Amino acid sequence: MTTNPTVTRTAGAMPLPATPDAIPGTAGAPKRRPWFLRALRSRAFGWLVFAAALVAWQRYATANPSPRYATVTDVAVQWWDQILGGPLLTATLQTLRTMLIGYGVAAVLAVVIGVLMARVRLVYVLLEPPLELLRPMPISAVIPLLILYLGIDDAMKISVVALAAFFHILLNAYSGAGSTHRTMMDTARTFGLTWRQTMAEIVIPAAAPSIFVGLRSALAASLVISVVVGMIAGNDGLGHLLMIQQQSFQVTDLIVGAVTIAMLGYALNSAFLFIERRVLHWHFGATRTHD
Amino acid sequence: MATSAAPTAAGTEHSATGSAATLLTADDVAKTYRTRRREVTALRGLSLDIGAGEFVALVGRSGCGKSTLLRLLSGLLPATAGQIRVAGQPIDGPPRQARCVFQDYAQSLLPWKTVAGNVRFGLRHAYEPAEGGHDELVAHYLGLVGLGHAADRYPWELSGGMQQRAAIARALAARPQLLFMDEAFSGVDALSRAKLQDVLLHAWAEEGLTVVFVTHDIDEAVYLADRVVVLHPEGRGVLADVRTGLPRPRGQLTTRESPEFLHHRRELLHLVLDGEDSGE
Repeated sequence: MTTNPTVTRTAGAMPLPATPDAIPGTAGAPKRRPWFLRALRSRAFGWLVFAAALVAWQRYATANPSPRYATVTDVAVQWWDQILGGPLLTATLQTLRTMLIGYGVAAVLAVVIGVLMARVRLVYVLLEPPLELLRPMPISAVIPLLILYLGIDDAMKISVVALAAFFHILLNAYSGAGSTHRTMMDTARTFGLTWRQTMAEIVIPAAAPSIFVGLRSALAASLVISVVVGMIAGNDGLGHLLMIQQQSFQVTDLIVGAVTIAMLGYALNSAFLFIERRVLHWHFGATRTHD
Repeated sequence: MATSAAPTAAGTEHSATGSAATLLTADDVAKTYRTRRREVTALRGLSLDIGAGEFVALVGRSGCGKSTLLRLLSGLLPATAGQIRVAGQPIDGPPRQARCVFQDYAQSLLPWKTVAGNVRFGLRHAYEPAEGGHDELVAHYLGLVGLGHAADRYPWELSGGMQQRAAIARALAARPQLLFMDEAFSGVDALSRAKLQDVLLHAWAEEGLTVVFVTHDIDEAVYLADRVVVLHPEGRGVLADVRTGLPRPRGQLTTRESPEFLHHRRELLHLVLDGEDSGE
């Protein structure tokens, strides 16, 4: 704290509050941070540290050969070999498929139900009690029951993923659709919009920023659950593959699997942000100008 | 209560004489807000006839129920007693012939649509679908309010005055017979406000509308309207109904400096400030 660069050193007897703008009476332009502080705050610095950690790992694993470690290069070579074909590719595609179907089903159902609950009193009255009871239940507590009823194949896995994603989206769709500004609803009424037109042209677009918040947290949840459900069902997907490799001490393959999941998550999130920026460009523009 | 002229199918001929067919009638209307504990009467015993093509301003002290009255007339709020008729038909919800321009333009324009998109919304949800291609119509209504250059911009990229002009263009694109405006120009700076007033007068003259304009600004009421209705300060109906009828076209400088303008301004300010003591 003693070297905080934003504190004005030229201040006189009175300690001035440190503000990001130039303080009148002090010299010239707004203060620029010293180069090393700017470097510490850049994103490249984070990636550099990450790369350094990889180098350290590589050196340690090379210097201490052991079946418990794998070198970075081994992992990279293995990953490249396996992602082009074989069990890793199959498992990744299976997990991705389960996840996307479950997520898609949840997105459609949750947006429809959330908007209806916010806008139709009877739907709210009927669905609120069961949903509020279901919501706090950990998804892991439901899986055994779903296995009992649906077996261990797609129907069960997709249902589990959908259930995990559902509430994230539902709550945000509900609150978004319930908080349409009164003037906007009055506008819809005076322009003579029917109920369906009001939902499609006013309520849902106005709720879209909120719905996207839910869709994004649901995306992370459904990736996690789609891997876990493969471990529990034990028949396919990345989760299942990891369990087999763990039992046979294939450390390199285990790391390859984990890396694959991480990259899948990163790719999905990037794709999501890409779509969000396009769909909600008006929202980001509007909130930026009101800062 | 005096009943109005026989409700005929109202035409939209432009007329400021007041002898045109009655378009909008309020007959002994009252509004009481009920809460669990008590009842608050915002408005009672209000009767008013507005002819097709008129430009009427509603003024009064704050709390006189002028915004409540506008919400009643525009069908956004049900009356507790009395009846409101548009073109002879009692209303039950917003009348098809009417559109509103609200004070809070930022919450009325659709932020996910461009200015042109908002006007298209008006065309799609029109009272009388206009003839011609939508692109030409969008250009026409944007031109009418002087926003031709801003068609592809988003509302939040525009100043408040420009946003309100976009809202007016959207309302006009629906080709209404009646335009309700609730303190529509109160949220913008003085210069934009003068511009908006002239844009509205121009559009009113072009489109042959009936305008009911609520404002707390007496100058604005006299400048815009042919008839200024002063509401009773305690919500007891109409205190005074003044036909100002200044010559048209009006200009920000010439009209506001004319002796008639100053006379009506003084008369109305007196009515609003002194309440019923000086009522007619």
